[in-house]
Amino acid sequence: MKREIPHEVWFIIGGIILFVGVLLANQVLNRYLIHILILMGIYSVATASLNLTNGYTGLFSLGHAAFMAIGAYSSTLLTFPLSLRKSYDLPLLPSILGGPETAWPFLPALVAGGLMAALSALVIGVPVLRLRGHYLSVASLGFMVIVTTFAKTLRGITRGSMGISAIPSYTNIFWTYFWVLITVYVVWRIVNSRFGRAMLAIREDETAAQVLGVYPLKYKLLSFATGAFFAGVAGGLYAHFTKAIRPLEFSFFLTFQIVVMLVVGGAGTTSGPIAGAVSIIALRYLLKPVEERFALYGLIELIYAGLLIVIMLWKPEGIMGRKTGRIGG
Amino acid sequence: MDDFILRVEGLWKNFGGLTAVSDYHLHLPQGATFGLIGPNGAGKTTIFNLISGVIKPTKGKIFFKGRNITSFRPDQIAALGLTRTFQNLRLFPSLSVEMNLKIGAHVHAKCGFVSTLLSLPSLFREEKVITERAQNILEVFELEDYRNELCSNLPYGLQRKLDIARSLMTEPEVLFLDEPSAGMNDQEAEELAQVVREIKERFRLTLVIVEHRMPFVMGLAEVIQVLDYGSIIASGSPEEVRNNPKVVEAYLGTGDLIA
Repeated sequence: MKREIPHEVWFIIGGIILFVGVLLANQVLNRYLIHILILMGIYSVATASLNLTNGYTGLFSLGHAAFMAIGAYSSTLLTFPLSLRKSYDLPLLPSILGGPETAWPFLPALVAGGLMAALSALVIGVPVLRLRGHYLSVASLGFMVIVTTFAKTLRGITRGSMGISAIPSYTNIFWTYFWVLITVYVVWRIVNSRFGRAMLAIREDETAAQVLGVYPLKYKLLSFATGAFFAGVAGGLYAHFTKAIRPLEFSFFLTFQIVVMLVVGGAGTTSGPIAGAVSIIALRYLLKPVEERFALYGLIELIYAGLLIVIMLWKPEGIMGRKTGRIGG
Repeated sequence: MDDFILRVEGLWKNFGGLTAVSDYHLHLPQGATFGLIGPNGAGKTTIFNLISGVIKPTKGKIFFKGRNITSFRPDQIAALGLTRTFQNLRLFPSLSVEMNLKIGAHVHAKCGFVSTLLSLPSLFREEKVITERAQNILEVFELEDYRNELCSNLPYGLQRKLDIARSLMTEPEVLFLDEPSAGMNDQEAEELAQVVREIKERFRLTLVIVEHRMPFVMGLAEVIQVLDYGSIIASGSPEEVRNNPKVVEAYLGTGDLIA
């Protein structure tokens, strides 16, 4: 057997190349292009996390935008500047979260947002993950509606449908691609371990997995919560990038967009989510001038939907999917 | 300690008004090979489902290695050392042959979530052990050439072999084979019988085999239970069972048994 370079080494090499690339991009590209690159990164994190639940574990959850909302709101509430809290009617932090005198730095706030999303995934996962197939999809959609409703009605902490603006602009290209790397690494590591094998087994045949010693609920929860964690982080990155969030943003269209990215890129592959996120965002910004020039608003959404149908019909395994390829290799 | 590795006492299963299994008993000594035969719908697969924990009995108790496992989940039962194969082949179709096997090693993989994420040396040691075990099983079943093949691309006979191979990855003490030779021709079935004899020796298994193909089970099993309408109508050595008039009656018209 030929000795191969371990995948871990490739990850370090890839990380260095990515870092150098990001550094260069930051120097060379104009702000508009960097803006697009950051969006590609944030959506890559969101899609890669969805891939863990939908692609590898086969839990077709449509509630991903809800986890992004939880991450976005949680991290925003932690980092929001002290001086503006009063005029925005936002509460000061209680003393267990660092007291009224401070706001959190970016990284711990992002992680806390991710953890909040993961926690809510565990709570709703126990009843919802008992459902299979379409039932799970519908129930997770219901969860999304619940979360956006809360975001609209809990005015004391979310400012209702007005949303929160003046969020500190912490997200930059380095933070974004740092999290892209972390997400891809974690998903890849999980998938190539006993945890990922258990998840794949559940996707393929739950009963067979069970008689081979896999406890499905445990691994479904793990997959769901880990996916939610990174969705929460993506939500936090998004909030500190657009500097304004409203409940409406975290709804059907966001979920739809991420699902399209995953399906187009290739569910259940390592590079698929990234390819999907990058190509869909690229498409969006290529079409934007067309949309504006000819006043064809809605064109982009139509193209998304059309693309989804085309991919389903002709390449259901996605751009990066291989019909005969090994999964998780 | 129990004299029997597996003891089933007074097992009943009702599906609504239908009694699928009534008063089923099994005393399985360590190292034995039992056969379970009976016409279609006699309740054989239901008994497998009950013992492996896939469905729960209406009444009755199951003891494995002296422990009452009646209310255990299938994964807990598998971890204790009892697993089964499926009549309708439940392989993981879009995964490679090797991946199918590695999933079977799940109960023996102990590496924690954090050490997995940090790629600690313990992860690599464990993965190496699992890879070696899969390699070993591939050799026993002569499936090495198909290691990276998607299992849905395997010919049917090899898929049946892979199903047994995968169950052995859990290192069971008791293995239930649900119609292992279904859909095979006589020659393939004969080869499979040879493989079953071999693995029984090598992995010191206790076997229970459900079969339709009489020569197959008669050649392997020391004791055969005959089931009809959910209850045992005869049990004994293959010779005794073959000449039992009740059995002949249950099978009337098939002619299989006499041949």
